Amino acid sequence: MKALCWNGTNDLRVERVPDPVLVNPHDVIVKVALSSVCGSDLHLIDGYVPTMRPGDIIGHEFLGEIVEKGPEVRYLNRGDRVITVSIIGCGHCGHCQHGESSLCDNSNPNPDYARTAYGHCGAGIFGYSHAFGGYAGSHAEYIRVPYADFNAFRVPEGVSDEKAVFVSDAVPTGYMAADMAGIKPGDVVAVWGCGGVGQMAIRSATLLGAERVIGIDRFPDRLRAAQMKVGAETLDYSRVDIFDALQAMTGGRGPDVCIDAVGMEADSASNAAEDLYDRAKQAVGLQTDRPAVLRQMIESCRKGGTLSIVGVYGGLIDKFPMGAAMNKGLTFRMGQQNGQRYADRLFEHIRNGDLDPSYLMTHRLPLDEGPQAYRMFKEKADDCLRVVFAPQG
Amino acid sequence: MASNSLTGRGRWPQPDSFLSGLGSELGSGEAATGGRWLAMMGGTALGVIGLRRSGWGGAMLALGGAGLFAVGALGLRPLGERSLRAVPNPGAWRSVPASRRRSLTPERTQAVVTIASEPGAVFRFWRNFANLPKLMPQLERVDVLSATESRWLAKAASGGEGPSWRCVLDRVDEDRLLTWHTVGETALPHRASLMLSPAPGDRGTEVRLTLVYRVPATEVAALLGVTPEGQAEEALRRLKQRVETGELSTIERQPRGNGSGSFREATE
Repeated sequence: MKALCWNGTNDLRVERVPDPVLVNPHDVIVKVALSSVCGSDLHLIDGYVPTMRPGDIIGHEFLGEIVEKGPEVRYLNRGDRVITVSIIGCGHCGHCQHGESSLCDNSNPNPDYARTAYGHCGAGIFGYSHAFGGYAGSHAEYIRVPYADFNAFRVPEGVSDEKAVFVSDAVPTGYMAADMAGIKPGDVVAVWGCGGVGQMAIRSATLLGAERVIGIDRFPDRLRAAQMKVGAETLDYSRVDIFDALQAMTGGRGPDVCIDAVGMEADSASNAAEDLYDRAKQAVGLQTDRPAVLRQMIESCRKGGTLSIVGVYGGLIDKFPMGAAMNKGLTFRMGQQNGQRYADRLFEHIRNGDLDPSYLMTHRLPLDEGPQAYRMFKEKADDCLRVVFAPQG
Repeated sequence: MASNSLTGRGRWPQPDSFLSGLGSELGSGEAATGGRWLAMMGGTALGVIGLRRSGWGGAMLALGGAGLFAVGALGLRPLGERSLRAVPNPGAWRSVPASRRRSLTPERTQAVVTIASEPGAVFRFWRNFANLPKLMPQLERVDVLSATESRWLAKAASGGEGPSWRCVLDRVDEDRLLTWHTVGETALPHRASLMLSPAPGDRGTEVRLTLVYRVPATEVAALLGVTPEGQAEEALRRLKQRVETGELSTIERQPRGNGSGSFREATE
């Protein structure tokens, strides 16, 4: 089959690889119909996530049809149209049983990297480096899905492929960002990053009762989409001082909830010295991630407010304003998405018209155009929100 | 759910009357603690001297002092390659693999894991020693000879016939404790125990595997292809997966591209 493989920093190639096979009794093989790019792929492509091996197939947000199933798969059948949550749970360990499937004890077959770096090991993720299990990703014609009964979800009748595919990752990530922040009616929520996840967080915050949601970005098309498609007020951080603007908009209180949908490669366009400092430290390995958004959130958030972090961080950051966070009594919530917990609820929102993520798919291309597509996505050219590949042509 | 880690590294030693006193856990740990206090005190002194002087010299002294203090306080090795693991935890030295600690033989290794299951299922799986090759890939097979005796055959780390030994069960305390030891001639004399205890708050069963080899860990690694620490952790990881999910997560036989470049290790 054809697959999009990582071969080194900024070196993606479409290659011929063997078809996947059933290995474990709870596996299914999915024939991929749609597979989306994701902002966190850029961290792999840019070489910031270690433990990538040349030849690794990337991609983790996908929809397709089950074509083979293992003998122990109970709830799914051949021919089912499914999405698969990008972060793999086993469904049985204590974390999976408590809705924290991204912390699964069993789904990462290479736990040593994460245990060395983090103390404990989290779940495996499709196409997301060997520290996260080394599973082959979905930018391919077929993909093996382990523990399928727990990770694959039948798409309900009446929900199109284009709406459903993002329930794999972008929608539950955004929804979880809003959900774990404990939004209460009347809350003002600020969301850093208006990519797919940020926009889903904006919509979810409103669904969960936020009074106002403020989206922060610097790309005009994203700001426009955040405003037009999900009803955010918007701020361009390359033009205004974010702290001042947020205080002005919230009567000097600051937002009740601040959501980070950016992660490790944040820039700080409004503060060149800070940006240079972070990039220099990252370049020489003195920190792995750039915390510009975190600093801004800690400063801007109201006293006693909540920071909700779904932007991906890899390792260690520097100059973290702990004094401000502690003295302002902030609450931090964070994590990779626990999509298994939200999939049914999100399909319900899509069915009843509360949510329509299909507009995120600004480009639909064959897999052969993978390398160029990622370049376009990375440079945010052509108003690209998300490229979705159709590997079957 | 802090206790629901995959295999722990034995940072939390438990009372273990059967094995107490066998392993030597002194030595490098205390030396390291002493070194850290020295660094912290020296750093403080340098810092104070530096702050009382003026000019660049004073500033540099103060900075050096602060650095030294930080090295001591954080337990960092000044040129340490494993700074990610350098947490201010006085028990952290225990996580250093036994093979790197200077200790007397016999060497004692303990790994611990929490399994979301009743102790019965875990105990029954392990109690049948014929199951153990499923948990320890370095074993070729285990033949159960009688209610208390078994013969273990390991795979050869480097061709030919692997080491083998006979084991006798000492104690079988249903759903709580299992201990066994080797008898007769063998290149790998050892004793071992599996302890089960309920985890608090309905979190399942805490399972501790202790291995005490009478030969250095390096010798175990040469003969079995795995250190005692690696053996214990892998066995518990597999035990947990088998009991909880009925399978072992794997990426074997999955497709990948040709990839001509070299593998980027996590340590880079």
